[in-house]
Amino acid sequence: MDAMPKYDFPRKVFLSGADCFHLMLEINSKKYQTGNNVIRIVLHFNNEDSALPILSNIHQSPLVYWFCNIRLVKGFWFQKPHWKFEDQGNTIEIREHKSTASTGVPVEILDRKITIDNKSQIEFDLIRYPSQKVAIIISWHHIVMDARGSRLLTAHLSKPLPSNASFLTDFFPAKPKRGSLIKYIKNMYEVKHFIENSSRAPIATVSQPGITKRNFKIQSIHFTTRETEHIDKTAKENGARFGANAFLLACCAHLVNEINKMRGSAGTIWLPVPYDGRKRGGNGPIVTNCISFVFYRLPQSDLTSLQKTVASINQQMSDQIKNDGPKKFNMLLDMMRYFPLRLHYFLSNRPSKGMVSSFLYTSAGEDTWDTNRLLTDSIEDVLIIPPLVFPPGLTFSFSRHNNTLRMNIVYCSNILKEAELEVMHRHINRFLESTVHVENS
Amino acid sequence: MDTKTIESDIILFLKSNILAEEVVITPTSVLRDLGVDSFSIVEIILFIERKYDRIVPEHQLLPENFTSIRSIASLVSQLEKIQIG
Repeated sequence: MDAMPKYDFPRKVFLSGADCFHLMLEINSKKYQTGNNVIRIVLHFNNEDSALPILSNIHQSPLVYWFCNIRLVKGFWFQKPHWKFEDQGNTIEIREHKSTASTGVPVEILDRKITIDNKSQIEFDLIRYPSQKVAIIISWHHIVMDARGSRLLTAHLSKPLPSNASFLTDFFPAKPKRGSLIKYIKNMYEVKHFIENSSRAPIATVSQPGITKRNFKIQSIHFTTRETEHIDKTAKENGARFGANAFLLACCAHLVNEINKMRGSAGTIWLPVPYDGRKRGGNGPIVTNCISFVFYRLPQSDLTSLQKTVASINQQMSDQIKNDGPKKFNMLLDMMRYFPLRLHYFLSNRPSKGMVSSFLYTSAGEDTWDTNRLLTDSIEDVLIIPPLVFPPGLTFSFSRHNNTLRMNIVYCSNILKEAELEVMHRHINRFLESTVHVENS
Repeated sequence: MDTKTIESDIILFLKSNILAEEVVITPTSVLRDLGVDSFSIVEIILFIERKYDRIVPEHQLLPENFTSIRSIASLVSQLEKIQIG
């Protein structure tokens, strides 16, 4: 293989406030010995030849090379955590697997952990299926990249690599503008007060105390074009007028509520939902999480019907955007980078008594992975496997590819019983009013 | 206020607050195709309320009123007429 040409790689990349939030989640991962804050994208191809250009780009991409040669420098008082680029010549290894199953992701890949101490924060796998079809799996620790970043990375790997190195600067976060310290502190108090109130215990969740065994499960539901159209129509009818997201989030909240009702533990649902901080329609950085959060608190009175839940979500979203909530929360996260991680952990977990969220939800429901827009048309299908963070140990994600919607449910197997999963599927049918096809992994 | 001025105001708002520098936008561009999502639509509604001192009534919060700059400008213009009338 050719040696990597000399690029002017950034030597030091500071973690964003949102990255540090993931750093904090690592404490829970170590404490409970469960969960895996790793996102995976599965790109399906009709045959190996169709995958060759991407496989070649993976080996030659300077960005992948950068990911293989960084080390995390954890901060302390007034020293921000950062990635240090150590040009040690590490190159990426694509692990190859032969699957006996006709589809799906082998358990050994799903169970493989990537921690912040790993030599590389990104991994690639190639699966060969008996039908001659292949899949490339890109896995990375959430701390280095968010979901939108991964779409940009996939687009980068899908296209011919640019011949000049100037494109590299677009992949990294720009130097942030310095703001007024007084404004930062004022915002910090305002946001802290809002979150303490919003996340106050008790919060209903499906997690159960004492779960320490890691057992990763995923269920993927792929809706047809017609079903997707129907879901979008149903979303609109239920009050989600500008995209289906509020409706999909409401459906997930109802699913969890139904399980909690069965257990006799229904209560208020609390959800932090990622809000992409990048400007729309452009590229924006790939490295670091450029997100903030919008927080939803859904008491039982908001969970009496889907329409009511959607209305509450719309109202809470509008109120928070009006008050610059996501920007202010981002400022809080940025400030927290200067403090020791344990203090960050203590402050974040205190109001909710350790409940990070009732469940996790990724707001990629409006995000399209359309082959005609971002990716090469050789990619037949895209599956995004969201991270499994414990607590709560249950993540829902939605993605769209070529006008079809896919729902993924990732969970610790010892959190949901088979009977509860069946109930969940019955409700998915009822809420989305569609016929669903379930693929188990 | 004429529709052209409203269109220019909204384009300026989108360019400085929502869309990336490289995005080319015209009054007839489909906002969804440019990457405008539901969060951004809420920001546009709040901008209209601040800039023109008009509340967009519940029954006007329809996707067809927010497909392009032109449709939004037309909505704002209608709201002004209702207020004046």
